[in-house]
Amino acid sequence: MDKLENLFSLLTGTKQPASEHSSLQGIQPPDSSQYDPNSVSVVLFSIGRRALAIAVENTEGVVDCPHISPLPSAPDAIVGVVSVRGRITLVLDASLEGALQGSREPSRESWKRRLILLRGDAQLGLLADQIQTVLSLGADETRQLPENRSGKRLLGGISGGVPGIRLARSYFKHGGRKVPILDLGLLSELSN
Amino acid sequence: MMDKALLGDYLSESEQLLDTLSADLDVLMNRAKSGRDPGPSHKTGAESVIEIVNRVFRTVHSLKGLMGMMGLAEMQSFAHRFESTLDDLRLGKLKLNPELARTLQEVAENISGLFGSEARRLTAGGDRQGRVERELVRLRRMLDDMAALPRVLTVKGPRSLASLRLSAEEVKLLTPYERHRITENLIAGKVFFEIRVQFQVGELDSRYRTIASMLGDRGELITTLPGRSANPQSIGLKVILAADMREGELEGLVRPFSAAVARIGPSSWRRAGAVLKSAGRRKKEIGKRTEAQVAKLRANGSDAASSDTPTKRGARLTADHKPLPEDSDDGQLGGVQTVLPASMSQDAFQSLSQSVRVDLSHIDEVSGLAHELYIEVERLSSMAGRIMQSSECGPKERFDLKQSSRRIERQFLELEERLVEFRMVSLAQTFSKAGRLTERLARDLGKKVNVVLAGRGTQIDKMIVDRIGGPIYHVLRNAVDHGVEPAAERLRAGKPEVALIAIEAALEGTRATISISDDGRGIDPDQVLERALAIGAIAGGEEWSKEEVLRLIFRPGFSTASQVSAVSGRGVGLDDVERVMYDLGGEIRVLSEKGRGSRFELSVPTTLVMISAFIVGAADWRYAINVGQIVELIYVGAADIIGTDGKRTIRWRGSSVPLVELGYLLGLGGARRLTTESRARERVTRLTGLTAVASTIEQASDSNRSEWVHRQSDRSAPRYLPRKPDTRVPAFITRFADRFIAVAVERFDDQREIIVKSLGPIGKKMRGIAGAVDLEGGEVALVLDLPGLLMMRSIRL
Repeated sequence: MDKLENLFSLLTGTKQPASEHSSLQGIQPPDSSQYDPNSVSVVLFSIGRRALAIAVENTEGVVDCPHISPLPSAPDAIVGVVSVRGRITLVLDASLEGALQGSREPSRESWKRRLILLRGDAQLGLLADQIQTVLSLGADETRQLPENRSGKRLLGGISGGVPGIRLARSYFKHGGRKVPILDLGLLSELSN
Repeated sequence: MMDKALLGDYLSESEQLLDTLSADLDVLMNRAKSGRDPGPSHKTGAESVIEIVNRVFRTVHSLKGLMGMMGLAEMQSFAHRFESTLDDLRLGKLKLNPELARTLQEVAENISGLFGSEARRLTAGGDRQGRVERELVRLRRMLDDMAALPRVLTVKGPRSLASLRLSAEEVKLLTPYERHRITENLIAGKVFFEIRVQFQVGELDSRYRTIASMLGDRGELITTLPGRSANPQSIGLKVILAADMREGELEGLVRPFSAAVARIGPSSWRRAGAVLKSAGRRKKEIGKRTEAQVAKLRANGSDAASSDTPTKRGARLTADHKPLPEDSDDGQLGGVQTVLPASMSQDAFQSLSQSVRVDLSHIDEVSGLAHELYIEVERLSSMAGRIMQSSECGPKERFDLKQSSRRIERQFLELEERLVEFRMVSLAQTFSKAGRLTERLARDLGKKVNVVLAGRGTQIDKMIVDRIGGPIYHVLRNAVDHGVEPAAERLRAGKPEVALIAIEAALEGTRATISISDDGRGIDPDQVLERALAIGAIAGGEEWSKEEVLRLIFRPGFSTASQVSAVSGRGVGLDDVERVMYDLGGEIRVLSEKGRGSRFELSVPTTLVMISAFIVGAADWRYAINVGQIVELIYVGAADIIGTDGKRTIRWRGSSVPLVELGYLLGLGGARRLTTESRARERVTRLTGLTAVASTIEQASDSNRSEWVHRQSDRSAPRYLPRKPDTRVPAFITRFADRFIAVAVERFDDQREIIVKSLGPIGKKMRGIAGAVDLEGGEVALVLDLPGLLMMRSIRL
């Protein structure tokens, strides 16, 4: 099993061959023959209409999101808590962070989604409507997000109302769109 | 930047060493006060002064090393100076008395406090605070004073030493400490023996440890010198022992080691004196040679501390073949292999304690896993029960299966409890420190105080112990400063000249109560009331019970002290004390009689991890509440609710109590006021205390389940509207500061023991939530911290 196939095992938490994973959650593995040791692998996922990504090395796996219990007084992007493998995990909806729309109130039935478990002590999981794919990005394919004078990061020239932008430092282009790559450090520092 | 995990290990080890140091210095102080030394522990069972001093010395030495590894050079130099004083104490150059013991305690306390500040700076960064700078100056002065204490010059050592049959080569290898111990043992009339043994290289460690431990139990093991070995595969050792026993007895003791025993003294002074004289001359020569060798090695750029140097007869043998630091106690230069003093070499084989340090989070993880397994086991038992019913197994199989599943359940429960116990530590250190602080404070204020400690062994969660110190010290400062009268005033009042302050701890179920009482002047309720009116804390014309008046002292900015002292009286603190207590899920109570004294009771849960929780439902989700925070479970009928607008209250125990919905407190919608549209006349079921919980649960499970409608569209509207006249609202009474509050919920579920799981670093920042717990079916219930929640919302109550 090559490196990329291992990534799929990691993401799905199973030991099935890579070919079987393509049918799981719509993940399409990139051609392993083009694997570049200097590249960074990212999980591309969607939440609402927004596409976001996170480095595979910052993830621990992907699970079906269990029932979410709401967490009062939590930062906007944290929609609640779940228990995954006995560990309490804070569920983060990156599309809510920095978004202009009002916060959503979770209900028991509406969360038939996936949860990308993040590495580290923060006990965080990223909510995803769909895991699109895992991409291997060359060093020249990622760009730092520019900042305006007040230090706010910009995407497409704007800072406000771009979901996830406060949680990302870099982006890449995919299908003509600029996709923010979420930063584990910023996610872990999340506060009100 | 130092590795975070490594730094954590160092800090944890340092913390443990500081605790040991504090405890040992306490014992030393007691010995100094009593003036009694029980002598060697092998005879009396109690440790001798020298044994304690040795351990203190080694602890400070280890601390010094750790401070160096953490890059705290200044702290390391302080520890080194402290260590030097302790060394002089070991060598008999300083005599232990209560004054010196107190100074040692104060220096250790200062080092501990400063180390804490420096360690925090190391982890969090930032500059040193002014307070820390002042403490550093103070500590430096204390160490200077200690260094200036007159030392006793021991001239009798070498003469006494000469009475032993030791070769000149052996004598010159003795450290100053070993010489001192020989002298002390000779004065005490002990008999000296040499025990010659040979061990195979592979078993040297374990065999030596065994014999050293055995000999140490029967006398004082002075040193271990190299001895003859019959073959290259074995190592010969010569152990020097001072003991009160016959040669034959000792021979029998060491027979399993094929050891040869010989009595080596005391012998004539003259002969040994001559030996020493010549030894002194030779030592000088050898010393010069050694210095030259070391200089040469250094000049060659080789590691002077090479452990490859072969061990020769007459040279010392290190226990672990590591070089001693240059400031080592026996004055040997680093890089020269030496045999450690006997007591030290034993330590080299053994760690300071028989324990391992485990991060609390790891224990929590294991506890969590055990709890998961317990839930699975419960499920399995239930499945087994069903299968038994439907299958054709006989009565014996059914009985066995039932017994087996019950046994596993019980064992898992026990496992959970044991894991929780790992987090428990005793209050001994906190109490000792509190006692010392009180005595010192009283001394500074010119007051006479006798501090009595009780219940030091009470064990509570480490997280709570770490935070309870502040409130305890605060109450004690107030007791000494305001409570205890000057001696003359006490005598005039017919009280003993020396005031009594008692610090006690006792367990009450799942809670621990720490009480601090004094027989001082007590709190004057009239003065408190007057002060409260003056600062506008209360309005005039209200009736106040004595208990309510006493609670006013917890209002911010409150102080009845006529003068502000360096210790207290600024009105800052008791409100903070109360806040810390609430943060810990505890509370503080005060009892006082004017002229007779005061008693503060700090009640805290024994653990923050495994708690007895009551599960309630609100706004579709379930929540766990520590039963310690529930005063009473009640059912409220619409007719019991008073007020249509403004404050909505109920009558409870003759008082008007605000009524809120849990959903409102959680920010999930719902109102703080319950509707009165129902005309039903409901009695309020009052169930007092936790004993009533079980019966309440039964009632709750029978009825009142589906009578609520949610108004999802209007987040400010009441959520639990009674639709039928006979519907009652389940609610519980909790206490917040000095008030009682009724909190309505959607339903009562049950009471159970739960393991509280952490929400991680982000979750810790959220007020009102203590953690979470797994419930059946993969559901997660938040464990509420009611005081925190109410504090967030109190402004709107």
